[in-house]
Amino acid sequence: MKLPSWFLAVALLLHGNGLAASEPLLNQRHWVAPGTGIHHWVVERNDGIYLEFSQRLPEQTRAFFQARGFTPEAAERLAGVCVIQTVIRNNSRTAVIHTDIGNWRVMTGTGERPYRLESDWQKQWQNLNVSQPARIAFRFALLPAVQSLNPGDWLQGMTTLEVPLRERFDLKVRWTEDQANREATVGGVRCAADRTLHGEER
Amino acid sequence: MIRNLRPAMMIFATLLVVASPAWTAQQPMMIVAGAPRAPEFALPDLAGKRHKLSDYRGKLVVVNFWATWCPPCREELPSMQRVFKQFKDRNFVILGVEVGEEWDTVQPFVDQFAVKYPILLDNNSAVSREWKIIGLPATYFVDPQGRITHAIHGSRDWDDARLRLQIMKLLPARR
Repeated sequence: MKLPSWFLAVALLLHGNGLAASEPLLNQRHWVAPGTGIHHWVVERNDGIYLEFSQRLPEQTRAFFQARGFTPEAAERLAGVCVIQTVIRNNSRTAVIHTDIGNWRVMTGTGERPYRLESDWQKQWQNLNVSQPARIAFRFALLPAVQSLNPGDWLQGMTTLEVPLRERFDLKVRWTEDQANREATVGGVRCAADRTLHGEER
Repeated sequence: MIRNLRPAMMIFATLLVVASPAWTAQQPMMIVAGAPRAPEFALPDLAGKRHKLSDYRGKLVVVNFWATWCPPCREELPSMQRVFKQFKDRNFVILGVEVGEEWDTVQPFVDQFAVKYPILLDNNSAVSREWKIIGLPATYFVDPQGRITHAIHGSRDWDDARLRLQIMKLLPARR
């Protein structure tokens, strides 16, 4: 029996939309943006979470926070650590996704360490007399530590990792989708060197 | 035989395509369980006029927390303005609550984007704390009785037909 071509086309379309996938698929990819040399890493699950990690140049971080009212000294503290811009998107149809960055880990050759969270920094900003508007901007510029995302929701923000710039490491990220625990390891991540967007070293 | 089945197979295939993830993902907004009462606030706009949330009782109010430096916030601003323009005469208002910045930063930005709905200044982020905002942008739909019925975390394309349809369903009935 020969099936008509329109039927095969519909079957292919359905397959492409994920209906044919019975197992959750975790896709990972990495690319370097032409022109800027910024590295990006993506982890995504069909009908589930989408995570994107992008290098942030220390120069960008320095400029951003100075423009928000940070003193050069306080902005330099941030420029000296690894800052990764992170996007979390809930691409599922029905599941609520919950993340707690306190459970994410940075895996280096010498062991694993937690992320440095916004609350850890705020004590330091008080001691450095960082103004209130600047601290408010900092609070919202960082990715919220704990969050629940409904289908279609997404958030982005900076995360801070205490690893030397240029050092390679893996990220172990964890989340739940409707109470089911999930995790992924993003390999070969590294922070941007302290250079300008045009490549000049500082 | 196949020829006889063709109409039924086409209907079946169409139903499957419509029900597939690519068509149903990215829901425009989520229902807030229990529809809690929206915390009251009184904030100045860019001209210094104070706006209380309760002043807008009887209207559908969209409370959008944002900041000028937040890229997704900037991305959705033009389409939010278009939605405001479309529905502003139908008991609909958007209140843009700018978090943590001063007038001289916000005013030029609002001029540049030609935003016509009220932009309120939450300088010390007291209102965003009261509303438990953890990330920007965050948007809440407050019904004519002052209850939060729907929420959006992250930006949206407010030109999206499904989102506009949902807004139309939430608008108070015309008298």
